[in-house]
Formats: sequence, structure tokens, C-alpha cells
Amino acid sequence: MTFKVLLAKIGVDIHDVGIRMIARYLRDNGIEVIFLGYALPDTIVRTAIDEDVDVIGISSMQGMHHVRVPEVLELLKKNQANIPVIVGGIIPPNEAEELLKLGVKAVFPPGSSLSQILETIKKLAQERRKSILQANV
Amino acid sequence: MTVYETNNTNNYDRGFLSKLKKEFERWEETTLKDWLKKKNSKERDVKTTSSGIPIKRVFTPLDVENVDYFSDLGFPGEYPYTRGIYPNMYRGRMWTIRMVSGYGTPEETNKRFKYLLEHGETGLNLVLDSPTIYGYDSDDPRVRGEVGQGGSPIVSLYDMETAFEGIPIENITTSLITYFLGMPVFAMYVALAKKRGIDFSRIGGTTQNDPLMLFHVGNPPLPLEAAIKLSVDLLEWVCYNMPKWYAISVCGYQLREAGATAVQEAAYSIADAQAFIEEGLRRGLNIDDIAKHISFFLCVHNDFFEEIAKFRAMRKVWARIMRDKYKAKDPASWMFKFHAQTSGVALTAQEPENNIVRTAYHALAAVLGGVQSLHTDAMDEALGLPTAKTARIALRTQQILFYETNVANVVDPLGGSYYVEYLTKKMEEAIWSKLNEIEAEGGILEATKKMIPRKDIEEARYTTLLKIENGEIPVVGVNIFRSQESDKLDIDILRVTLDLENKQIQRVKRIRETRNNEEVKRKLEAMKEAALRGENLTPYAIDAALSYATVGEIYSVFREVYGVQKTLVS
Repeated sequence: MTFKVLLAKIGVDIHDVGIRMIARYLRDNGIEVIFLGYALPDTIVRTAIDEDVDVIGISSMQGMHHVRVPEVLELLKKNQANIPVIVGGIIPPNEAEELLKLGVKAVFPPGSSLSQILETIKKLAQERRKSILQANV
Repeated sequence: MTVYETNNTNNYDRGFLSKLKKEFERWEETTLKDWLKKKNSKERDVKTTSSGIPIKRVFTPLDVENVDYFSDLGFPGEYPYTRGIYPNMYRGRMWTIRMVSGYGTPEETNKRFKYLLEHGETGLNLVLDSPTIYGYDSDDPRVRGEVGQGGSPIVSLYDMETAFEGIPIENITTSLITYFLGMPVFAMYVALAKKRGIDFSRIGGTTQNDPLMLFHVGNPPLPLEAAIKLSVDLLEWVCYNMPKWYAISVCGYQLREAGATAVQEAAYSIADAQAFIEEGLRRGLNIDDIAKHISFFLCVHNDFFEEIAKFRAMRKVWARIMRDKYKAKDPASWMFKFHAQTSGVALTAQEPENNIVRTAYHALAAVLGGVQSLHTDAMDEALGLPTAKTARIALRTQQILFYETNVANVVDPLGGSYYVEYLTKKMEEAIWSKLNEIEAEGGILEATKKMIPRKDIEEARYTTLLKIENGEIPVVGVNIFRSQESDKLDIDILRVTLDLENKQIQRVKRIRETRNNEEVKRKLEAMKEAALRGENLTPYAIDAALSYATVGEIYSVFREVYGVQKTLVS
């Protein structure tokens, strides 16, 4: 089964070109992408669980990550869903550190390479699959 | 259908050209060849500009032999305005320095306005936050964390009053960066003028109010027909009431930032403008009235000479469309007026100070291209909102350009450059060719329904992205010369905290408690009924704004009457 990624923007942040490009790049490289467009944290988490995605990717170009990303992490925990979250967008280094401390697995600021994003997603997806398959033995 | 044809006379006499051709061949065979041999033929093989116009090593009169001075260039201030829309350009008046401002709360925005004005800004440029653009009030739970992030919340007239407190709006022009629909926030600005007792005819400024842009590259909140209707409602009202207001500022900028090439940016914005013109004409407005209320908002990107050629070519194409296609009689209607903003996507999060240099080059291209008003991005664009310091440096960039470099002392200083004239001609041809393609699809509205511009721009964006990824397009400090220091950050970042958001939410609550809610309800109901009757909604929106109706409430009427636009997936 190919790796499955959910990509979303939260709320109404008008800048959605980057994440649409990421969606296309991932698809071109064999990843199944569910592109939610604009959604709120509960929809993101519900869809991620229903669709059994391997990774959640959130784009934040206008600073909402400091409020909304913790909500996504909280909801995942509440639902005991072990799905890694990555964030990309306008995120300065100090805020990236804060997100990583909260449990975000990777942060991609402007200037990140596409292949680096792809590789990180593959690695996180593999880790998740491994932990599920090992738990089932 | 407008079909482009060349019927030019030669700029040069035949004898000169044949002599030049011979001499050029001699140069290639001797001097150039010898040089390349000596250097082991190492030469960068650059074949095109960034939007694909063929270029070569050196340009001569041979490359501009079909450029006719009189019909292609003319004099500044005369048709076809290639060399500029005014006879003396910046010798008469400097371009307007119009810095994008707005974040956090209307109070913060007011402080930033005043700070920039004190430092020599000459026009205002109010950017709204995404919730306001999409028609949600700051206290709407779905926009939690987004209030004041990318711009100022302007929820009601109260916010407009605060943002412009102490600023005489009759003495300065203001651009309202509304993205999609101008009407709700425009209504609040007009309401502010009315409350201050200022005659509308004295208020100058611009609303973006170009909904087509979000259909091409974004996520439009309302369906296409409703969006065009509401946009042109504002245009129509302005034509009858506000001689100094640009009702629609056609947004090439966002198309470009979303990945369009220079040619796509130019052609789609000129095509989009015609959709509004035609709806205006359908409503019985005169072309010479409409023309005075439409301007353009364009990007200045990295490919320096191509950008200059783009502005020159757009002036020429526009003049011809307005004169020949729409039969505008007043020469003022033929003038292509534009505000430019330096490219944000060209700036990097790595080594942000380098962005000061990038922006300075962009600004220079805008000025050499004949810009009317200019915003220069701050160096922290790829990291957050501009701090007072970085906004000041960006402002100073324009002042240094005008006051110290002498580039603005001569009109169209690049006119006559073999390369720039060649590029201008090629750019013009490429714009006409795309305009013809759009017409062949049944016009821009039909093309938009088929998502042709959207797919076209997306392809260009993806191609560029892959080229940056593989290093074909170099970005200093990112994919070349990236060092460990590149990712270290030693500048302050402006962060809009939840405290500010909570403060803004309190402001909205206060307004809901203190205004006359019955009156608001009645006015919104009147607006809804007018919408159902198909009337122009602008006066109703202004009336509602005067009673402190909120952007969310006004938008709710739109959503209720016209429905919402499903997410576009291309």
C-alpha cells in the first residue's frame, strides 16, 4: 500500500499555492495525497483517522500555527491516533523550535527542498507503519 | 477578436542595415570566435528570459529593425504611452510611496500608518487580514489564531475609525487591499468620510475588488457571477459618486506570486480588466467613465529587463485596446496606470538581509518601467510581518532610489536600448497572442469557468519550482552559497500574539453591545431584499456600514443570496 498523506490549510489563510504544489509533487512521486484545502482542526483529525493517513501536513503562511497546530496535536492525542504532523510555511526558527517541542515531527520554512520534504514524509510514514505492524504481532 | 499585426516602417535605412549585418557577421567570425577559442569556449548558454522570450549574447539595431519609433514608442504622455503615461514623469512628481501596512488590531495599524507617514510615506496601503477578506468577523470561532496575522482586521466602521484616527483622508490617497470583493470594507471607508463630513468627491484611493484573481490562483468565497456582479456594483457606484477613486485594481500581482510568468501576469490581468469593463458597459456606463476608475496592481520580479519590458508593453497593449477595441475617446482613458509591489516569493528566509538588495533591484525595475505607486517588501517577508525597523528600511529604499541615484531624472531612460526595445516588442507580441487564445475560448469569463488560466499558471509555477529544486534557477543562500550561517537568524520577528486577537475580539463585542442592533438588522434585511431584486448593493452596504454592521454580517447576506463557491480543484 502506498503512503498516504493528508494536506490541509487551517481556517482561511489566503496563501494556498505552496501546499497545492507540495500535493502535486508528492503525487508525482508516488504518494497518495488527500488535499483537504481549508479545514478546521477537528475535520483534519477526523479525516486523518477515517482515511488512516500516515502523515498530516499543515501549511501556515500567516502565523496561525501557534494556535491551531497545538489543537491538532491535542485532538490526535485525545483520539489516541498515532499520526505524525509536519508543518510548512512562514515559520521563523524560534517558532519552529516551539512546534518541535510540542510534538510536531518536522518544520519546513521557505527554502526547504522538495526532496527533503518527500524523504521526511517517507521516513515518518515508515516509522508509523513499523510501529503498527510490530504492535500487531 | 483583436488580432495583432505588424505594419511598421523601418527605423533604419536599408543601406545601414545591410552594412550592419555584414559587420556583425564579421565580428562573430573574428573577434567573438577568437575570444571564445582563447577561453576554451566556456560561455553560459542562456537562451531565454524567465518567461521564455528568446535572448542571445548581444543585441544590435538588427534586432529592432521592425520597431517603429512613432507607432511603437512615441513620446511620453502620448499614445501608445510605451515610454510613460506622463510627458515628464518623475520630473513632475515622484511616484507614490505606498507601503502595505496593517496587522494585529486597528490600533496597531494606525500606529504603523503614522510611523510610515512620519518617515516620508506619501500614500496609504491598508492590508486586511484573511478573516476580513473572506468575510468573517474576528470573533468567529473558525478564524481563531488568524485575526490580525496577515493584515489588519477591519470588522466594522469602528475599526476603520480607529485605523484612520488622526489621518486626514481627504488629503492622502488610500489603497484598500481587499483581494476579492471591495464592497464591505469600501463601504466602511466611505462611511468614515461621511461621518467626518467630507464630500465623497474629495476622497481618492483604490479598492482591489478583483474577484477573478482568486478564481485563477486561490480560493474564492463566492460564485463567479455573483463576484463579478458585486465587483461591478462598486465600479458603477464609484463612476457616479467618486471621481478620484479607482474602483478596481486588477490583480496581476497575486497571479505572479502564485507562479505566473511575466507574460501570463500581463495577459491575464489585461483580460480580467476587460471582464469588468464589459459588465460596466452592459450597465450603460460610458467607456471613458469606466476607464478612469480601473487601474492595475503588478509584481516586479527578478528578471530585471524583462520586468521593465513588461510594464512598457502593457501600457502599449492597454492603450490600443482602450482606443481601438472599446473606442474610448479621452486620451486619459488610454493610459495604463499601475501600482507595483516588489516580489515576495523572490525573497528568502535564509540570510534575510540579502532581501534588502533584492528589493532594491525590484524597485529600480519598477521605476525604470514607469510605475505610478510602489510598495517595497521588507527583508523579513519570508519570516513574518515587517517590524517598524524593516518597514522603514523598505521605505528608505524608495527614497534613496529617488533622491540619491538620479535614475528618475530622465523619462524612460532605457528607451532605445536595443535589448529593452526588442524585449518590449516580444513581450507585446506574447501578450497579444495570449489575449487571442483567451478570446478563442470565448473570453476571459468562459476561460475562467474552464479553469484555463488556473491550470496555465499552475503549470508555470510547478515548472519553476522544479527548476529551483534542481538548481537551474539559482537562489543565493538557498540553493547556492548556502552556509551554516544561512539558516541562523539574528533579526527580530514580529509576532501577532493571541493577546492582540483577544483585544480585537473585545472590540467586536463592544460594537455589538453599543450599536443599535435593530437598525443593523433592518439595514441588512433591506440589503438582502435589494440583492434579491438584483439592485446595486453598494448604497445598501454603505448604509449598513454607517450603523456599524460587520463584515461578517454583510458577507452573510452575500452567502445567503448567492451561495458559496465550492473549493476549486485543478
